[in-house]
Amino acid sequence: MGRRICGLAVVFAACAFGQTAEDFFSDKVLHDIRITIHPKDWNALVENYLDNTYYPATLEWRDLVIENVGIRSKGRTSRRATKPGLRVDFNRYEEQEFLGLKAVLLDNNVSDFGMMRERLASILWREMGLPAPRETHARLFVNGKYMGVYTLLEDTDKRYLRQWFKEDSGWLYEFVHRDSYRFEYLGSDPEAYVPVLFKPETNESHPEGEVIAEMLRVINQSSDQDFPKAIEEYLDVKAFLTHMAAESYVAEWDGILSDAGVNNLYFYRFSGGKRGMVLFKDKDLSFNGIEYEVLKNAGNNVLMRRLMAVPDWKAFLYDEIRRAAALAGATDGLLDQQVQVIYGQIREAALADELKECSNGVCPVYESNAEFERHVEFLRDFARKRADEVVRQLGLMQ
Amino acid sequence: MTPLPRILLGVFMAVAPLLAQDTEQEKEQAEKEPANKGVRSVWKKHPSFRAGDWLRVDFRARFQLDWITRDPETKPGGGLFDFTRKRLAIEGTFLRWFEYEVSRELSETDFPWKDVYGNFKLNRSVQVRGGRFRIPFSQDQLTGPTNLDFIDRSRIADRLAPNRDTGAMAHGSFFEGGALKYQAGYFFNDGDNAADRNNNRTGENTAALRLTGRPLSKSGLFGSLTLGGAFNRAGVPEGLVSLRGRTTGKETFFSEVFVNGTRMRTGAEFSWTPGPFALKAEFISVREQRLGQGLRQEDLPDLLERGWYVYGTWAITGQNKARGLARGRGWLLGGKNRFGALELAVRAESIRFASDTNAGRPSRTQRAANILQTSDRAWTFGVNWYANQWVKAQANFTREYLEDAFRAPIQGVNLYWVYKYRLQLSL
Repeated sequence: MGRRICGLAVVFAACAFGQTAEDFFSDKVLHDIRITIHPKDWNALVENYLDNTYYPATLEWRDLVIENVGIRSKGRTSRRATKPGLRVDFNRYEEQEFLGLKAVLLDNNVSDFGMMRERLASILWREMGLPAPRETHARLFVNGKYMGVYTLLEDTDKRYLRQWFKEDSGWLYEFVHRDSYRFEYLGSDPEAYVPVLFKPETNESHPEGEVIAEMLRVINQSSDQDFPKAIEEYLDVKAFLTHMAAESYVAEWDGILSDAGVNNLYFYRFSGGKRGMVLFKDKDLSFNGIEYEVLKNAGNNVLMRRLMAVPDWKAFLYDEIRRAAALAGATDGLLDQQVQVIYGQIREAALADELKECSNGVCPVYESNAEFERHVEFLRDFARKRADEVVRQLGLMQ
Repeated sequence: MTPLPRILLGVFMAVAPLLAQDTEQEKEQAEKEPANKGVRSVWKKHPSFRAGDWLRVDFRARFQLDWITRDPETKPGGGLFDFTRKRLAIEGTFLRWFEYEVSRELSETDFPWKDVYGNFKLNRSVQVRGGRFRIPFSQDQLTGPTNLDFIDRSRIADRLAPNRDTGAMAHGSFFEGGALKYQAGYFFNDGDNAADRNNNRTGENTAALRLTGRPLSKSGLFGSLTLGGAFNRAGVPEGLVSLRGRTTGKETFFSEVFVNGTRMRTGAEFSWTPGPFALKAEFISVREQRLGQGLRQEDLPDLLERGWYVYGTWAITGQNKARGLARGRGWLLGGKNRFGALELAVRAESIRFASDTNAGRPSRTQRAANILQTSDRAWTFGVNWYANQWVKAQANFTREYLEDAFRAPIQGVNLYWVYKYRLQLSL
């Protein structure tokens, strides 16, 4: 009964046991999340894992129970029937929140064999002063069955915007990947960009795609002389370059400079103006190699090419990459320590996770356990050696 | 509008007044004529082919053109012209004992075949009908679209009554003037109205019973007063297939929930048509079981769908409602029906969706034990003009208030107005 009473109380974001969202995302412990869902709904979600259909469920965390939440399969390339990534919307059916949150995400870590890249990346982003979601790890149980280790992270929504920017009335877009698109100008028609490339997450009824179109016109067509001033009107350039420095440091091959074109970003345009900022999204394919080329594909991306043609910004970018290296550290540095901490938290649960995958897909658990250990070892190696490698490459580039 | 209906519409408008002939005169003439035993064609209200008294084939057609606007607008594009019905039918009798009807709706792809049945009539008390036709439930649902006093049926008839299905039914009437009528039947499924969004039938093995009576049939003023009751029961397979709530504007305000077990309907109806007035009312209650539909597979309280309507009409031009207002062939060409009949109508109604108990926190999920109640309460104000027996024009203004704005067509907006205008041509 005590659980139930508390569960009802969290509807109003206040619980008798004094838990907060900070506790929910605390990275000090491995959390347990329990979801109760009708077995037929779960089977339907698994069978139709490519759909975004919501199903009613109950979520339990510690002593808190929140009923009537909506869950659906999530992810792009990481969508799986065996171990679905989940989006949990607390307000799907009710005007309710859970510890002040409207939604949380449960990443299935199937593309991240060491299961901690996303969380490590978010730590570095925050260290660099950039917005990044709070992330931690959790064991997920669905109808009592252990589904494995998931990354629990907060949603990029209005509450997130308020937390970082003290405002939420601007325009938040989620970038939709299109093969080989690298910020080219596609004409003045706003519908060429919104919602096909920039999907509105706020202000959906008036997404103001014309501002996006104008920004891309400036990126592509402004003269070299006008470009530095003109682009500043639409983009917080220094924040963008810091973001790119972080992506370069963590060897992100599925980000803005990916081989296949721009991917994995949010863009937030602040209220009361045209200026916006690129935000963190999905870094579970980062840490792609200690020797991964710094600023790989930068020359192919229109925006990066033009920014780097401005000497001051190029210098700033290089400085930010060096700063990332300094913050991440080498042996016993920030990332090395975090790998050790996270490994200690999740190792036992990860080894018991029979649904985790190997690099060649679904595999016996003894193989995936070996792969998990290998990848953790690789991440430890990355944490210790990447800084020197990045500095070395920068030296060659200059 | 496609060319064919446009042409038909034009021809109708042009021809109808020219066919003017006083109906009373026509009747008198018909009475003077000896019974014709041969093969012949007749055009009175509609074209008819007759062979002696053993075969009768009536050709029927109905066209309804609607103009709809909404405030606030819930669909893109604003006002909408819609050929709601383009229906062709044949009906008639064969060998005195058999009646039949075959009708097809040309403007619909979901359920294009409407009534397709044969009826064996031993006498007026013992008749058997087989085929596809309306499950006997709800006087509003059983009223043909040509004769509706409002453009749209009541919400309860539209959403809770089953409509047509394939099956068999015994029916008949007793006492003088058919003062007591019965209908009892079995149907394979649970009617077109209970189909899901993909038009799959959601119920099976429906048993239906309806009784109506005129307890004061020998009283002059109250002779038309009719009371009735109906019950039906269908099996409902497990799934997201409950009945759902839709507004007059065809917007969903209560989505399906998971059900499993049986669907039971009970209904009560009232009708009285003294002189130029009509007063009708109906109550329908539907109970759908939700066996094993809780998150932990526990049984959930039944889903309850209930509603009522009351409406009144007044033919301000004075014609007798019970005899029908769609009479006469002329219009502006003389005779006592030269201006047709003008009728005012008003309807109050409510439909509500909730669970059988209200224990626990109410919720909108499809598996909530305590379903958060919502309802649609509506007022419809109408004007009907019966130009003659073929042409009818209607205007309806409906105000709908949705209790739960969260599930409203425009989230957060409770109040909706729907303005509908209809021109109807029927043979």
